[in-house]
Amino acid sequence: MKQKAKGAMISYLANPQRFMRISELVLPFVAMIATLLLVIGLTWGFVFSPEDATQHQSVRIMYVHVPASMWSLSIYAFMAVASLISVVWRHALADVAARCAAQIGVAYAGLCLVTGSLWGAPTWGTWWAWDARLTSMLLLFITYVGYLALWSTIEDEVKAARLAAILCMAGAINLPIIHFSAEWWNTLHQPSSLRLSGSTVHPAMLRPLLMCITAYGFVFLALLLAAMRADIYRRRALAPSRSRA
Amino acid sequence: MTDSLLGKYAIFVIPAYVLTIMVFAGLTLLIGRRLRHWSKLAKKREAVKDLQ
Repeated sequence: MKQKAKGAMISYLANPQRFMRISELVLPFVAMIATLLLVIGLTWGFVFSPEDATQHQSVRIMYVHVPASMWSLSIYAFMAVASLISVVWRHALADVAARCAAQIGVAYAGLCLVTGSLWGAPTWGTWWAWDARLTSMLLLFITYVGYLALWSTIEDEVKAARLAAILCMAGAINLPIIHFSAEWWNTLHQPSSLRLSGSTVHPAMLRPLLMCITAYGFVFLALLLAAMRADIYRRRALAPSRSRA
Repeated sequence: MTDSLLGKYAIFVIPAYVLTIMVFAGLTLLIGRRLRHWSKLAKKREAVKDLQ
């Protein structure tokens, strides 16, 4: 019974026409919330949050680096689930969602690497080190680029979607490696300060950090909805000319 | 003001924030332009189809 309800739910959400109707209503609100949270979060982190005792002012990079890192992993996990749905149930929206999420995820992963490097220079004394966390994160960025390259190199979209979904699911093996790398190996990168069991970050810094994490999430959602709408319009615009060709 | 606030870390912190804002602005512009372009084309096709 539960299985049936789940299937019905996926089918309900996977209808492109219904998606276009719902996303048209939701997108302006999500975009507004994203902008508001981002402005408040970044201002809070940049100006009003306290200085760290050991990292001094460089700790302010945390408010742009940590959310980018967390969301680049989460976006890839989202893509892997969408790819699985695409391969198993062949839902029309799953491919669109995975492809559009990758375009945003690659920007988040790139942002994470560059801001991490900017944070590493004053705190570690180096811009880059081949440590487990940094290397596995770089691998994730390369996987994102490879995924997008695969989509753009294969002309047949059905074939491209199938191959990209397989690559995405295979690349998901990197996610637990990135997450646990700082614990499994003795790395330069510190282990996670944010856990479900609690946080080692002082509340005065934790609040703007959580605000930025939420803001990045809303930015992702707003951009994803807009990108998916654009991709559905593109498919609609190109469909007649392709069938004639 | 930011220089006095951030001190010697300004050269690391300011580029991180500027880059973040640029990435978000760039993504918004790119996806927004793509959305406007394809929605216009798709609606044109619909209109032509209706006429036919």
